[in-house]
Amino acid sequence: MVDDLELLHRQVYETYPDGTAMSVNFRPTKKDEGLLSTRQNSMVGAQQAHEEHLGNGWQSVGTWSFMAGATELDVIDDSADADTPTGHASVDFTMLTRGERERAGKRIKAVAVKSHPSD
Amino acid sequence: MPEGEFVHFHFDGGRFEASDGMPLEALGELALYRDLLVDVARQLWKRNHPERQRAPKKFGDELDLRLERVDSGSVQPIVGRREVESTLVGDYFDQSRDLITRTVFQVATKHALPGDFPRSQVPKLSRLGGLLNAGERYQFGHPTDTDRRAQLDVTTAAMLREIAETLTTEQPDTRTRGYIVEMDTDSSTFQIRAVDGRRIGGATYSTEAADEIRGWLVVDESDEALIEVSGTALVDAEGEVLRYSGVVSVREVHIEAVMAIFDALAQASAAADAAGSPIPEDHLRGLNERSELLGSHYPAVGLVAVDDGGIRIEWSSGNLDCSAEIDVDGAVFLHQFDMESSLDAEWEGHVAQAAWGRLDAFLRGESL
Repeated sequence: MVDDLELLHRQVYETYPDGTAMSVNFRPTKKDEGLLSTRQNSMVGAQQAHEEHLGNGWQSVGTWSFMAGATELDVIDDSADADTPTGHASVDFTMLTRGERERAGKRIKAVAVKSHPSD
Repeated sequence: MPEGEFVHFHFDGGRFEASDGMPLEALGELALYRDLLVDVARQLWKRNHPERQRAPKKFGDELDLRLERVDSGSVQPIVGRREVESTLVGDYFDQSRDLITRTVFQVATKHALPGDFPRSQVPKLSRLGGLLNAGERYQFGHPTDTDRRAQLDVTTAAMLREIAETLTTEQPDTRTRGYIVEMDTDSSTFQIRAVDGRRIGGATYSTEAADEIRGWLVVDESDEALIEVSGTALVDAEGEVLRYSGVVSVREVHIEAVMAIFDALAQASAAADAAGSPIPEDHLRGLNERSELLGSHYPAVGLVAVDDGGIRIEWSSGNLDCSAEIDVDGAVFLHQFDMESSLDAEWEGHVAQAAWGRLDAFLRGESL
């Protein structure tokens, strides 16, 4: 498990026209199999996380960050796994109902702040 | 210069016998008659041009009537028409004058409206004669042909009001789009020029809304704010809104917001197509039809394609973070999260079972 005080970085790809991140960014898609992919700040900075994400060919308008303890869900430290990027951590949505997934994603959105690039 | 008398008026009885000159309050009657002339002429023009949604711009400017003098012998205001350069609207004002005359004559003699008088103008027609006291009357109509004149007295004026009442009904949940063209701070009312050119008055606003209404008041045609008024309205037999008796809300319709929704829908559709999971057309059509409702949350609104042909809408409304997902099979999932209290609520349905209506209510701010 990741410490509650760890800052987690999440790449955001969908925003409102005013630049606000949509909550859809903070919950896993079907291909993620219930695990929301993040990077731990103690091992990777917000800028590096963003640049690496783009470098892998993925879309992102920036990095949003939130404290691991801000979510009610377990945050798994899977940074030691062979096929994950440096400092990877997964927020576990696997046991949630549809409504619970919505709630968890919106809770994270409510506390996440844009950390890179700075406006 | 005036080209000659356009309409004959002859007031007599009561105050009009008392002395020389014309009581000032009678000027209001002349102004009302002039407005009615223009509005009836506009309706006649539209009747002859069914393919056109609106009458030509500045239609009313073509009728430049002047009170040239007041002749003695009871009170006889001489109303001349000043020629204007444009003749866009032909002789519709002559036709309008004669139709109004014939209508008042028929109401006075047969207690009924002629079939060709525009029903939408009956409320305004019924205001004619409002200044008359018992024993007072006026004759009006064609400037030279005495057979094309009618007389209005308190009895005929009362008949006009009775007829108008039978032709109008109060209709709740009525919406009109247009522009605020007049504002009367004394009576807390405003007038709207509807998008089809009709003028709708009597919309009463609350004190709290005054500043916002003032901000939308058209002072420069290049900077008109399109607004939508909703509330209880008096409508005529043809369903045309005559005036609002109770305004529930006035909101600005943001065209750029609607365009942004169209763009977002197109992008979501293209993304879903590229992923090999197209969004069903009837779902896109349903959202397209709600573009203004979605746009009312602009810029705090977003649409994205989600897994397997689904589409997701998110918007913020005060403390509420709201979302709606429409799955490829038509299942609809609505969710709201209160960012202050952390309380949430959800609703599940299907597009085939009134979910669109529930989504509409949710988008309008109704809680789940």
